[in-house]
Amino acid sequence: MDEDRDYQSGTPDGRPHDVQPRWRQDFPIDTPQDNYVARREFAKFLVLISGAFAFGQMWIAWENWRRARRGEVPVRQIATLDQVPVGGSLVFHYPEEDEPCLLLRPDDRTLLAYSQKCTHLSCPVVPEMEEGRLACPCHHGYFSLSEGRPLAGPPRRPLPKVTLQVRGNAVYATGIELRTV
Amino acid sequence: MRKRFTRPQKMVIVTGILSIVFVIDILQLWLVTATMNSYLGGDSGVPVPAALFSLVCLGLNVGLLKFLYDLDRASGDPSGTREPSAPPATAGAGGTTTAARQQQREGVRP
Repeated sequence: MDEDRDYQSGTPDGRPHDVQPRWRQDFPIDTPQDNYVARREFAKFLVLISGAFAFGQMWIAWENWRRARRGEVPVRQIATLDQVPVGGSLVFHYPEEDEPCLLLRPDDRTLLAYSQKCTHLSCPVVPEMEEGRLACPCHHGYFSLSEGRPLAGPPRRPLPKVTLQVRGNAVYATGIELRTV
Repeated sequence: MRKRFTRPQKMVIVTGILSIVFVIDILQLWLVTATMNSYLGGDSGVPVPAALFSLVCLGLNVGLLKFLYDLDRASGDPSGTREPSAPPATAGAGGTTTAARQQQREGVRP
């Protein structure tokens, strides 16, 4: 029959049937067909993975749209200068209550603020003023104190920077700068 | 009418399609990591074009898979396994008995 023209009983090791074990002689497998079906099924699985990637991309686009809808973050007083001694730091939450940030005062004239979440896996970073860096104790990641850029360890992105404004004795947070490099 | 391919030809086709799908998957993996990095870095212009491109990649992959299944359908083998019209004396999935194999070696169609 025409439908049978491709039919063949192959062996996995390519040796003749006569030298195969008895069980394989009695229960031979159409190996080429088996390989064909296996590759086709693997291709199907890869297409499923492709669908998962596309879904992930759509989710990122959706979150991006939601972030754009939220608009500008509010201007809010976060501390007074008296609360932050020179060489000291203060934890505050901005713009939401679940977003911990660090206000730093390395010298009398400088005020800096960064998100406290490490850009690797969101562990809280701690300031090391003497070394001029912020350290993540979870995986030994380090960020520069002056710019928040990664110095060592697994983090690749800088810490989000909180822009500040000083009005009299009060310190205001005016926005957040997200950066890739 | 679609051309009917022999099994060695189909094997080449499925391997080729598998390779293309694999490369597209790697491309999508790179794209999703790069997009996530730029999204977390505050770049709002990247996610939408990246999502569209990823959808195009998915469409391409689905098209290739559909071509593969159409190939089997054209060969009268929609499941990819042996049909009842295959050798009547079979043992196990897609197998033959020793007698059927002997007939094959002698050039007799089972």
